[in-house]
Amino acid sequence: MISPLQRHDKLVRATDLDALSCRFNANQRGYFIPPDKYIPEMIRSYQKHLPFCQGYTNLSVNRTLRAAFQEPKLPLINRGTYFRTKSIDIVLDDFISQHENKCQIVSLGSGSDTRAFRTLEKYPDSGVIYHEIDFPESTKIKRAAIVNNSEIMKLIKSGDLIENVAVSSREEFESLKSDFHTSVYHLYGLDLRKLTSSSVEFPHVDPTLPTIIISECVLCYLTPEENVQILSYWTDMFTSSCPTATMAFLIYEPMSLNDSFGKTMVKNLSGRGITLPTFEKFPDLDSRKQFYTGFGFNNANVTDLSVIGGYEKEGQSWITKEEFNRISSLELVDEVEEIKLLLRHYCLIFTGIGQNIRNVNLFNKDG
Amino acid sequence: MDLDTDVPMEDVSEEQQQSLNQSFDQGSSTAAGGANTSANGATGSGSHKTELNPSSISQLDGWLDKLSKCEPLSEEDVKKLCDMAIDVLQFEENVQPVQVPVTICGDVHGQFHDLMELFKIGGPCPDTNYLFMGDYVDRGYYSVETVSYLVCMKVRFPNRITILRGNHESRQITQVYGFYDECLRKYGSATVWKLFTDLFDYFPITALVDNKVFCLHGGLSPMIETIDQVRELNRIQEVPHEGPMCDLLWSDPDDRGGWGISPRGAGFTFGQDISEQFNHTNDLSLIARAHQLVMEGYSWSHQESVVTIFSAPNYCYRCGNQAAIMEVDEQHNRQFLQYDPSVRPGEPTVTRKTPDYFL
Amino acid sequence: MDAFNVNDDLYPLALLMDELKHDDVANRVEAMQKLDTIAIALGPERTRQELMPFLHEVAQDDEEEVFAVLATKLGDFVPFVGGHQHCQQIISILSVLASLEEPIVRDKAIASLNKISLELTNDELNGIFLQLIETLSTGSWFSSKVAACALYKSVIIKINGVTRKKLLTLYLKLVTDDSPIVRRSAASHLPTLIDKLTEFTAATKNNSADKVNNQDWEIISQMFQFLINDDQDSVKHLSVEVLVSILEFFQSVDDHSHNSEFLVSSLKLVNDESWRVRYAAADKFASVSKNFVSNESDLLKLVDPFISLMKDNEGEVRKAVAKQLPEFCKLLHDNVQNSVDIVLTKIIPIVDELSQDPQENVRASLASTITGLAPILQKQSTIDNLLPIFLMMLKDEFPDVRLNIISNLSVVNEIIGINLLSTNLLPAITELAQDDKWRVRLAIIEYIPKLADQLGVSFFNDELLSLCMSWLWDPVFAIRDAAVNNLKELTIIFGSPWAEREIVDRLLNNKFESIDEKIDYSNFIIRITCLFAITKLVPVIDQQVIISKLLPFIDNLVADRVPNIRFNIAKSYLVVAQTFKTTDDNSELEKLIKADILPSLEKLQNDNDDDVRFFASKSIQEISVLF
Repeated sequence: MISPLQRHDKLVRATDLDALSCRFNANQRGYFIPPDKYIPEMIRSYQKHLPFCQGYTNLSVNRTLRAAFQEPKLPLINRGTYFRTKSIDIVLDDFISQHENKCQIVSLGSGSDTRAFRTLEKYPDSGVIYHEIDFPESTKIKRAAIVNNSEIMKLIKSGDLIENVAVSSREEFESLKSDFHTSVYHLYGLDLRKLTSSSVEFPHVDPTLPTIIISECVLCYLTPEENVQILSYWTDMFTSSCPTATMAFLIYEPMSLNDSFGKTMVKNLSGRGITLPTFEKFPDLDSRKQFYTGFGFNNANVTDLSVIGGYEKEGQSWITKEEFNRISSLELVDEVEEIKLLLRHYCLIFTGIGQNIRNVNLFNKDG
Repeated sequence: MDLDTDVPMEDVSEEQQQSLNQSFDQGSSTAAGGANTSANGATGSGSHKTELNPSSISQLDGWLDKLSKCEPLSEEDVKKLCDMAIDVLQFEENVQPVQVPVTICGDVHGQFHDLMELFKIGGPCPDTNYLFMGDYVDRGYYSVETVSYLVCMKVRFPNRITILRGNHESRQITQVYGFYDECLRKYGSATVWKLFTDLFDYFPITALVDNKVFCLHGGLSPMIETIDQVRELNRIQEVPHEGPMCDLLWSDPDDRGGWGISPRGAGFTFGQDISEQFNHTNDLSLIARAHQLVMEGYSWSHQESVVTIFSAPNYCYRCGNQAAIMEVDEQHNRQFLQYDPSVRPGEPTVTRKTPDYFL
Repeated sequence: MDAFNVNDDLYPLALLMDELKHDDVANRVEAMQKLDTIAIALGPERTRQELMPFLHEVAQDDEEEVFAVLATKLGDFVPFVGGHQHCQQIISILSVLASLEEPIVRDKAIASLNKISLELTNDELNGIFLQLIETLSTGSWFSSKVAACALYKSVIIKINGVTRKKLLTLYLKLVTDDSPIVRRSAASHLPTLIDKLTEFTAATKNNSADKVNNQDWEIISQMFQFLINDDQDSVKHLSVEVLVSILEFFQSVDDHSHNSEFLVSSLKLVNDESWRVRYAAADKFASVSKNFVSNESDLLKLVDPFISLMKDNEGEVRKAVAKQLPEFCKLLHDNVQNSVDIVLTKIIPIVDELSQDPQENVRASLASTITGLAPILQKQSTIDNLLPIFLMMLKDEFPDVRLNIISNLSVVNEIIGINLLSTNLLPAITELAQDDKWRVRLAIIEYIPKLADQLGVSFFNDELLSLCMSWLWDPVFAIRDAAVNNLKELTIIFGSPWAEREIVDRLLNNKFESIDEKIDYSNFIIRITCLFAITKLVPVIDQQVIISKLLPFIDNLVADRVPNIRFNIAKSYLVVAQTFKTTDDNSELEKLIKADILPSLEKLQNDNDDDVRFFASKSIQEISVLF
């Protein structure tokens, strides 16, 4: 039996299963080009290890995994997953090319996300270094997936020495390693809430390199104070060692817009034991822009996913017409009003410090 | 565990594909038998069907009683009900004539308790006449109970309630949006899904209220200029992917004039010029349709030549919208009634799955 | 089924396990509901050996709905495991559930544990159950300690004095726990514990060795001191109820020696910096005060604190103290000389301020209690001092304020008669009657019969009747339906002649004050609503009115162009016949049925509409059974 705090953390970690199952579904439907070939390995690792994770039993693990991966997602969820993944990829590619492939990516609460592998595959033998941080339980599952897959091992330049992780008890799972380091890839198992100045160090993060820090529905589960603490932690790390450092934050998360959809969302998620402490505190793009600029960042480029998807004005879309036609042919999205409503409640924010965090064109399309 | 087991979707899709091909290749002969001719040629409601016998009536009343408590019928009873419903619906017309007074309603989508709230607002059937413009199933958690209730009401009081076909009353869409899964979950097999989707083929696709208000689920079609052209369609088939019947169930009004490509991937968007022309040609005062989520429950377009009515409050338990119905009286006065989700004090709300968000 | 019964006696368990693996929560909940059947099928031994270990695993991770059912079911499980001597497994599963964070699950598990405690022998209580309490109380998570607090009450008066003292000492630790959540739970369950001790003291003989003694009170007093000085408001505010229980104990043993200390504590709480503490003090003000009635001056010392709470900065405090108004004033009235003067000079002016409070929920709260002051002030003072406040509140912009005044008017009526209120009562009702939310409109309609009874017929006719009629034309069916029922209730109150004159004649358009009131029967909804109203009146109105007015109205609609009207006519005829049947001498009426009703129904039986034919035949058939 687990403590209430552990249970809360378990519920937050379980949102990674939601995200993975969304990516799994969208990928199966053919949304991603090239297809994401790393997802199955992540699912396999979950299947192997979830029974030994905190708060699960054999009964509940099977149920949880079936609920995540056997029920097909609605087309609007697949499409939203595609926009989310694609828009973050676009900003990331932009950042990497601006810095001539010499930069760092730090993914907070990365869970089973496969972007690290997709990125390293796209930029082989470049100067791109990818860091991922999450709860130790999550990084253990990820590490087990990595070392089980020769293709990923090659990508991250770890040779092809496959480890066969076989776990048959909670104790064995507990003793798995949660960190992994190669020349281009770093995995850290730690609780983000423990990132207080100086107490934790990342010897592999080079504060002089241009860096983009991604939070994809992660900071939203933390309190405003914890948010500030985490932003400060990274900001201090970079500014203290290099006054001209470039450090960007790329944040994707839900916002309430103070409307009935937002209110319903709070009610629905609290039924699952999930709270979103910043959801209503920063209800819209303006308040978020204010928060980040008020924090001391140079600029905050903000937009929402409905704009990105071209549901507001076609000309503002980040998706080319050909691409939009391609995804439209994959499945019928019957509920246009609903998808628009849903996407409007998700923001994408690009902010930070350094010369390159000016207005980003993508965020300011006229339409 | 093995993720590859227990996913019966593919088999069904195949079967479904087959039946689709059949209807494409052979028209509706397989599904409808001789019924389609009578459907097209029918002159008025009730002229072909036989009156219900007392035992059917008490059976139907019993079913309605059970369903009104949101308890699904047995598979056997659904079979009987659907057989009885085919007897009624096959004789209805593509453009089913409806008398005033009538209360016109939009999408319900398996939100059974909100349907009960609707009757509290508009009055119970049969005392109030109802015209529902489709989309009874999918998305909500009680599609089975909702569609069973409405069909049961239709069979019991065929002259008091008209149920049109929506784009969700289709084999293909219900496999994506939940009705298929719900049937599987509640009955352990796809039989009930098959019974209902076969029945859906017989639903009328449009209605004409007192020759003045044209009611349908979606909207207009570039291939339809007159209501008579709708009468000539062969409706008794799966909703096709394109063509006039598809458009009637899929199209949306738009601010831009003329015909446009629908973002839904089926049907078209049509502008004010199109609506006005259609109303003029057919001597109509209004096109009433459903199909689109509107936050206030109803919404005018095209300078009051088209109205959208949506009757599922807090759609999908996620959208936070109001719902509405439209009463049309004997003098053709219209009154909109808006309402919120039903309140069910003391009932646990958590037994249903949280709707999906991006997390 | 036979195959299962004969060959596979594992079947029930396997079935349950299967169902509990189901992905749909609803199925798992349903399976849990059948837990007792399965236990019976398995028999006690196998329930212990197979079912209980399985349930233990279930209790580790599932949804709260499943847990909640499991927790409830286990409360009745003692017989299924073979009696109380085998309850250890049940208790251990319940202790897991009780330690969860979800209040629904925890409360059900605690309720079941407390229920099971009743079936245990004293030895078992002192053994297993005490062990459970100790384990939970000293557990490492706050949630198990939170659960522990709720279990003490089951044992506290079933153990000897020595053990009780040990247990109270353990409880003291919970009261001083590091976690505010635990302290909160300890504080909120402490009053029940004290009440148990009060109850026990009353039942035990003075010379009993296990009698609650000073040492016990020493510990409880320490608990109270910790709580009243807790640095968390959310804990401190709970000390108010603890104080009430302590006061009640000393009151019950007629010991007033500590009253002055307690008064100091009470005042400290009333003046606390935290509004939540003041809120709690306000909320329990009368309960605290009634323990000081033995001494007039003590009670008088509470008047100023009461007033300061009414003037509190925080709306929630004002709202809570407003609720205490009648009860506190009554305490003064019953125990203090010149109390009316105190109420009039000190309290009423503040009540007047509260009635204009900027916060609507404060006003609504006051509105629900203020009428209770009328019996204390008596007629003239009520008219002079309270009536102006009532009148103003009836004009309040917030519907709940008006509704609360209206629904509590009977007490005012008894003292001063309601007519004095009329000018403001009516606009208030009218506005509620037009509220945007139909459930608000429904609430006022449902109150009308009671109000009508108090107001009397002439006032009602002048002021409310046309409103009652207008509800019949509400856009929402549920309101029209309530309006129809209201007319029936009014007829029962005011009698048939009144109904004939005031309702029937209006519905029949025989009587209207202005052309606006004339009913426009061209609208279907109006016709059918009139028909519903007329039909509803049939059973409660004089026969001669039915014959002379209602029946002709019904007859008139036989040829209505809308079938819905016609089949409701068929139903109305049946109601008329059923009503006639109940009169003693119905030979005349039978003639009428034959001459009028049946021919009309026969006409309807040949209608071109199926439903009209159906209901006409049905009515004919039922009438033929009746006569």
